[in-house]
Amino acid sequence: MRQKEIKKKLKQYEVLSHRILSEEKESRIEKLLLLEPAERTRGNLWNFILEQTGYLERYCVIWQTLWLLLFLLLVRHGGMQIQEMESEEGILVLFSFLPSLLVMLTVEEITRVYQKTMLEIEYATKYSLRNVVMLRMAVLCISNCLILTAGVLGGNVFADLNVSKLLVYSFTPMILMTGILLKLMQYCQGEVLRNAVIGGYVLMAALAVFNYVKQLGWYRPECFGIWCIVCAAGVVFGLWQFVLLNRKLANCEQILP
Amino acid sequence: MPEKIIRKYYDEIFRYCYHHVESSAVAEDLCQDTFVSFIEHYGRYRQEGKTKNYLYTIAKNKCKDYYKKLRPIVMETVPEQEAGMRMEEEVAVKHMVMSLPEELKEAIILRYFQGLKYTDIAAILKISSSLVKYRVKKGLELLAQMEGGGHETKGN
Amino acid sequence: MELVIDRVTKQYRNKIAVDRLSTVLKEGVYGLLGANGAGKTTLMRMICGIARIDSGEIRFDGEEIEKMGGRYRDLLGYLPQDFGYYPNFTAMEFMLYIASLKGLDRKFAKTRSRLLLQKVGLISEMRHKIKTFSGGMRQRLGIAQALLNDPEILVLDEPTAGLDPRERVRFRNMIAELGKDRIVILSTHIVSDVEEIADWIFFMKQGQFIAQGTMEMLKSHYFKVTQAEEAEAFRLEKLYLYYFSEDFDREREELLFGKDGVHDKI
Repeated sequence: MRQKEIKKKLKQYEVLSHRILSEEKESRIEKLLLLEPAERTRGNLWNFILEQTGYLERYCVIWQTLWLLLFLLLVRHGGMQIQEMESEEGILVLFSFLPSLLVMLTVEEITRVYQKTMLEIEYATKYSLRNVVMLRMAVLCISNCLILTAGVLGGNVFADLNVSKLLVYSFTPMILMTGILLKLMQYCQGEVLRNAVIGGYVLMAALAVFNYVKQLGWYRPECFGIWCIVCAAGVVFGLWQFVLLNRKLANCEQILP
Repeated sequence: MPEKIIRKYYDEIFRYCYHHVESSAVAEDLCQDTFVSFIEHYGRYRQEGKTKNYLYTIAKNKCKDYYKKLRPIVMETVPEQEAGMRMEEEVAVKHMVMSLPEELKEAIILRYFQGLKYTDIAAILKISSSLVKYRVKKGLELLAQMEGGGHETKGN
Repeated sequence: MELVIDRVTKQYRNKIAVDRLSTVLKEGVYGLLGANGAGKTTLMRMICGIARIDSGEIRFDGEEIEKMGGRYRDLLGYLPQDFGYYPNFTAMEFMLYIASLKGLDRKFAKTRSRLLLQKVGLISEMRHKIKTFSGGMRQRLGIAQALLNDPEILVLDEPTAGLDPRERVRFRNMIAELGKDRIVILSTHIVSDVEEIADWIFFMKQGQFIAQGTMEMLKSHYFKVTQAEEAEAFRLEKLYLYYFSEDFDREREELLFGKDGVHDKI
């Protein structure tokens, strides 16, 4: 008997308790939703590529745009001299070494996220350091090449340029610079890398100045053939260093302190 | 989708927590904690069984942890008059249930206050259905004894 | 969930860093104790797939981790010793960057980062640059990044270095909670860090496990060896907590005992 009464009482309590509602339900749920994880998406390589490109370009695009403007300005200003291609080597030297400056400017972005202290953590992630670095380098090289091409072609609008010659003169130092960068990345990171690259650039610029001062005439038309050879060699060198860097990064222990 | 689940079960879990504690404010916190845990583990937990039962399990543990931190609830402490629970008798029922031994209390709450099926309760408490039935029965017996005592004092 | 370390050896030139180690790890908190140079970091690096295994295997749920590659690292969370960081990144930027390396969807990464920063108590500093962080804050950020992909295996190398006792307590509670449903490997040379939370403890010396077991089994042994040191450290820690808790009156304390806070009465 008693049990029946008890059950009744419990039932009554249950019915009444339905009237107890959370007063803060909505605000609490809102807070919860802030924490709510979105449906986890993983392993989307395309997303990864886009994101890393975004990270890199977000900063580089400023430098690249400024560089492009500067380049176009110079073409506009010194257009006549370039047409001659024989005299005023000074201008040519400038155009030769301006593109490598592009590499220099964007290297800051590379070293920003390629530092000794972070290597371990980055290696222990899904995509790992190797993918990130190689992707960044690839994006960097491709975007710099595009910018350069845009600069030369764009400059063609202002002055009647010998496009192919100018491309070779400006591309060669850039590809050599890039190759050197890829080489250095196999051996150092962070600040050290940045300083080494600066050193490399200064060396190349010094060479150019040396040529100008001593009037070695590297820009004579006869030498163009050599330039083409050096350019081709530079491309091969750059690609080879790319492969080597990839190989080196694949084996973490070679990079880790 | 976590949001749908949260909205669907929020009231139910809130009530469940409320049955364990004296104030609705504490119940709010426990309910919140339950769902925070749920969200945190949402990606990971491989759903074995119903989501509802999983939520109840989390809530049960949260209530248990809460108790561990407090001194045991002394029957003399009179809780605030909660809105909707003004009738003394209902409060008395709650007190009676709260004073049951842990296992029996849990079984009674899940069965009578939350209206769950024996199979669900078994999944939540990780015991067999028959053991659930046994505990419910035992719980009712104890309550009946208490009630008997209560009636006498009321009569006076 | 099972991580099997099967006769794993690692050799550097003449030195054997890890010597035919074998063990099986399941859910729980594992403490790895030993002096510097005992091989702890090497072992952890091997578990994380960073250091190559010279001989032997490590298998996760039956599969060799070297073969699993990115799929295995997807389940990992790693906080190395001397946790490095990018100084000009803000805490949130850093979390998002690591999240992208871990292959997490950006939208998910944002909410997850926020949740974790909240959990480690850095949510109000999320837009501050990491170079402005104290040592303890940086460690907490390190722990947060390790948890981004909700790893099944959490490897923490000296995670409490640089944390003050109060932060250490907070950290211990977090780890104990995490160890309930994943493998947490914690290396340290401070016994008190693990004594309360480790389910199983390994003592490592010269690349081998010289002892292992539960806390109770091992404590007396370690205590025997470094008795004075351990007791004193324990006492000092408790005192620190007392004197530097939020409601303690610092000014009064300085007045009574002098500026450096250390007094001979203790």
